[in-house]
Amino acid sequence: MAQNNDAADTFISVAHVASELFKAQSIAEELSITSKNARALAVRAGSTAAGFNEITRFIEGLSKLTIEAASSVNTIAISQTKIASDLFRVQGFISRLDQVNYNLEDGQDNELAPIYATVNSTRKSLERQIRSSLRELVDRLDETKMELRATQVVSVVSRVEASRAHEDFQNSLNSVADKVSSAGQRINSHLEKARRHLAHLRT
Amino acid sequence: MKAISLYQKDKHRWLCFGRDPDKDEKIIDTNQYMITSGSQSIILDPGGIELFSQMLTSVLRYTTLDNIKALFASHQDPDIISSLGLWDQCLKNSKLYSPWIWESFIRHFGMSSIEYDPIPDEGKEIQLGNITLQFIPAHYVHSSGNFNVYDKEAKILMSGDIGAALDDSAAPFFVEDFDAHIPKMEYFHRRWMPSNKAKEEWVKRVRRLDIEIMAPQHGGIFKGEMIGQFLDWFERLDVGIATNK
Repeated sequence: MAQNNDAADTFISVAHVASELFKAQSIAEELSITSKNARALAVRAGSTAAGFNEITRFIEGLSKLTIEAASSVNTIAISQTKIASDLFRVQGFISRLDQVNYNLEDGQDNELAPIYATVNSTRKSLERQIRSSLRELVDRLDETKMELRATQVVSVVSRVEASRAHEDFQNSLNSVADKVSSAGQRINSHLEKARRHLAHLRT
Repeated sequence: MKAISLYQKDKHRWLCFGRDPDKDEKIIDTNQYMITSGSQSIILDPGGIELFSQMLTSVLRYTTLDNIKALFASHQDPDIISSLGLWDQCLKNSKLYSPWIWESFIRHFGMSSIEYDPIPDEGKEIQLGNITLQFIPAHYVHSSGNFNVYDKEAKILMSGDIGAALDDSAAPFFVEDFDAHIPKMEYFHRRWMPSNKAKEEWVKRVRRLDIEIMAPQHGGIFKGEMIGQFLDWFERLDVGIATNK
């Protein structure tokens, strides 16, 4: 395995992660609307759907959580892509410097020594930043994925609550449960794709 | 970086990327455009090296790297295409459409996997998915080799630096008040555009096109009757002015 990640590969992978999270965020926004509709429905359904009212607050919380996670992952990803593209430029500079060094006559290479020292230190610093930022990104993704497990529980509880409600509202409440379950699965699938884009990078 | 849709019909779409809140304030704000038809996309004036990371992240929200079949650079300026060396690392089997006179200059930005497809002076048409795009000559307004992109179906003209305004990066995407917009464009057009003759030819050429949106590379986008207002204003403007003392 290479000592460090290829810069170009890193900025492409991380940009993919940001795009997956953007898609997850759009689904979470839909979920937020579902939650608001469900709350209105629960009010209309009255006391038989009182438990549902509590669930809608929980759905709203999940949606907020995903939107916040997407936003923070996006910030990390953009900064990471920037660091990786800077690293790509530094690596390109070093390889050009190597060509110059190769063509220099004896004794002239002293001229390049301070430049090498500076640029190598920049490269190491960028590589460190990339690894640390990658770890942060992976942790944030895993954490969000864990927290989203709750969507399936919410969906099941929603169905139970729907069965208790007046029959006029059962179909609508079941439909809310379906939407929560589907949103959870779709968000999860984007998080998994995001995670796969990072799987080959060294943290 | 923000994105807005300028046109969407079936699988034919125009997006504009810009107004990046994280951009260094010393870097001029730019509008980047992406046209998609079916599974093929082209990025118009993809921007400078400093905006590359935000651009790549934004573009991937709407398409995949495999579907980006081409880049277009209206001319050779760094805010237009200095990101080329980085795009070159991401795109496989892609082309860069750009004026023929700039090929040996633009290659200085670094290009090994993207193929340079030179646009002749008289312009040309290309096929993207199910649509035809026309490269409309705009030489000397301002660059000596310069093209606009016209999409007949969407009725959009990407006008590059023509119609550009030096505006705040938080400004709205569309021009809302033409008269209030003039001071933001006037110096740029007087100073950057070198030739009244070239300007008049361009205005005459563009008046023949059916345009609903005129999309410049900097500042607000013109819609509807504002396009006519812009053409009238630009036609009257004396350009190529600078103090040479």
